[in-house]
Amino acid sequence: MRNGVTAALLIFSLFIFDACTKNGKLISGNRGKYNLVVTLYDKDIDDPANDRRSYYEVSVDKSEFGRTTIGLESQKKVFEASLTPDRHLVKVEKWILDEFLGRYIKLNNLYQPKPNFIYVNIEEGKTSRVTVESTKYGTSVYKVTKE
Amino acid sequence: MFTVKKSILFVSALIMAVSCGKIQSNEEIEPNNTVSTATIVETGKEYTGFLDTENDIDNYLLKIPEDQVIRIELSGVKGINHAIQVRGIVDGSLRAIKTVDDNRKSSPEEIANLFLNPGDYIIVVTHGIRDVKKGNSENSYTLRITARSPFNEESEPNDLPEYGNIIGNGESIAGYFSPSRNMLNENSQWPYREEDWFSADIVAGDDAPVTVDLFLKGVGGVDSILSLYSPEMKELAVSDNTSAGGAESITGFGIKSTGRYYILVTSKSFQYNHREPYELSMNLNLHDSGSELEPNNGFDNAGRITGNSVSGRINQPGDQDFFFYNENPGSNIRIRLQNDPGLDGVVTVFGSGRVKLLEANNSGSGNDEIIPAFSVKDGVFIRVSSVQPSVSEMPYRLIVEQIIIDGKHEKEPNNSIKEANTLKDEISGFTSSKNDRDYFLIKPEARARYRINASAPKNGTVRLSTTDQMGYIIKTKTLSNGETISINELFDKKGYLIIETVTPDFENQYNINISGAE
Repeated sequence: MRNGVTAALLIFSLFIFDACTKNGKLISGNRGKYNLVVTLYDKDIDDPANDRRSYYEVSVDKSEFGRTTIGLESQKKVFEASLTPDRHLVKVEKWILDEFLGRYIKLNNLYQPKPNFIYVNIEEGKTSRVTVESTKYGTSVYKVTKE
Repeated sequence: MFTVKKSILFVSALIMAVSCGKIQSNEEIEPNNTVSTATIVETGKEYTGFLDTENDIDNYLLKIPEDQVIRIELSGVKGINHAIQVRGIVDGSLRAIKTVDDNRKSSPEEIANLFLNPGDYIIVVTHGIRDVKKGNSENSYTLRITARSPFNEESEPNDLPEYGNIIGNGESIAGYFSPSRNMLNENSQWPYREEDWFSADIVAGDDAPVTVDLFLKGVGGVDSILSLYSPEMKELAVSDNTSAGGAESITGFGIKSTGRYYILVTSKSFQYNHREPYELSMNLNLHDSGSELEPNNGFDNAGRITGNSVSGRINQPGDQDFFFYNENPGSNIRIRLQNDPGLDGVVTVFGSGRVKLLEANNSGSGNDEIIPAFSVKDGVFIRVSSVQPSVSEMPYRLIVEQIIIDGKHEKEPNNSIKEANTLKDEISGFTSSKNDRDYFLIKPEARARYRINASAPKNGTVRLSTTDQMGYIIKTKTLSNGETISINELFDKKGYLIIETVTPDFENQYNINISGAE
């Protein structure tokens, strides 16, 4: 187990080194190395006026991890991460653009995805893809596939 | 007893003789409607008369043996708008040299200081022009003429520039806001305004400019105006800053060509004061290159800053001073405006294309305004102005100092998305004003996560925000007093960092660096 963790850290470090050598930042070419891809969108937007710009904050194992891309609620927004093989708690939190304030604000809990979490088993050599379809009422369906 | 009676009779006779003689000599002698029938008058005496009919004109002949300044006082006559006209021989013919008419009924007329050369003068008491002329045979007027030797004062009439009294460097000259109206003033812009003109012969050149200081001591009840005109009668400067009784001044006005310049002293709304003289004084000084040279109220006459500083003054409400600085193109400069305790100054920087770039208006009266760092490309215009209209002259000192900044530094202005500086790895910047917002563009080739490290200025507080592609804020962190933070952010091909000033620190800069994040 200890050796496994060390190996994972080594691989992770190499990955970081590789990323940083390319102009000091991660670029899309690394995307294939992620083993967790979460895609979220609203499936029942029927009026463009209600189709707001939004993104999701994503936490993994109760730690802030990052956010999805930004897009309209009806568009697919993607979060990618490379996690150690394990069972992970993934939580999402929806933020929408308040154009009047000029900033994104956290959506009222009433309309947050329900449930707002999923446990994902990350397996060695496989990519877990989670698709979250939400409605304007917050009800959500989580689908997990592994490749 | 007989002796006593004889004495009484003698005294009585003497009194009667004196008093009867005085009455006879102090009344107008009608008809005196023409110059040839004018009643002879003397200074130091009073004369009574009547404007009996609507056509009545009373002429008085005054003989002046030597240069004298006379005061003419005409008492009011109930219901009558009367006027005084003084006529003298001008170019061989008898002409009006001063007309005094306040355009009011029943009010007195007066002129405080009419300068007369030796000669004969006709003083005409007649009806004013404004009201319907009518006679009054019941109420007399009293005409009093007093004379004195001239002292260092204006020589009325000096109602036109060509008759301006010469004032020299370091000299003072007195005058009166009298009479209230000059009916001979046919200037369409200021009809009937009483104007006192002075002139000064000034020697100057482009390479040897001089500054002129004019001070006008105010008098009670008069809101005065002081103006300076070029030899071509172009208005150069006006001082109209104070209300009635206040002084006016034009100071530090730059003159670059030799010629006769003109000074106008006048009042608003025909205000007058026949008793209290004003005092006009003038001083000329060689221009110090470390001082502003008025006029410098626009880009075209901006003063060039050749050293590290220039001193100047906000002379009147609305005054603004322009300077041009181009000493070390490409260098970074810090601009500091040291305000007089009563001055709440504003310093504004314009590019050589005269586009406003930066403005510092952060502190109150008496405190410095600072633009901490600015890159001079091909010269900048610097404007100094005042937040509030200054009622008196407010001095300031504008200091421009070169600064050396290590590493990459923001290029102001970057106060909007359109002006954002591109950020690739690291950058530093200043909180240039209390509401400063600095935008930085991060533009990866594709979606990328960055680790952003930022440190606050040593004595300031800033808000660091990340934005989406359109500039909408995603995340905000506040950091103070040298504090360092790190945040991760995902940039999808494009995004911005915004540094907002919460508490400015004009001396110390903030720093940002970005690197790829896992």
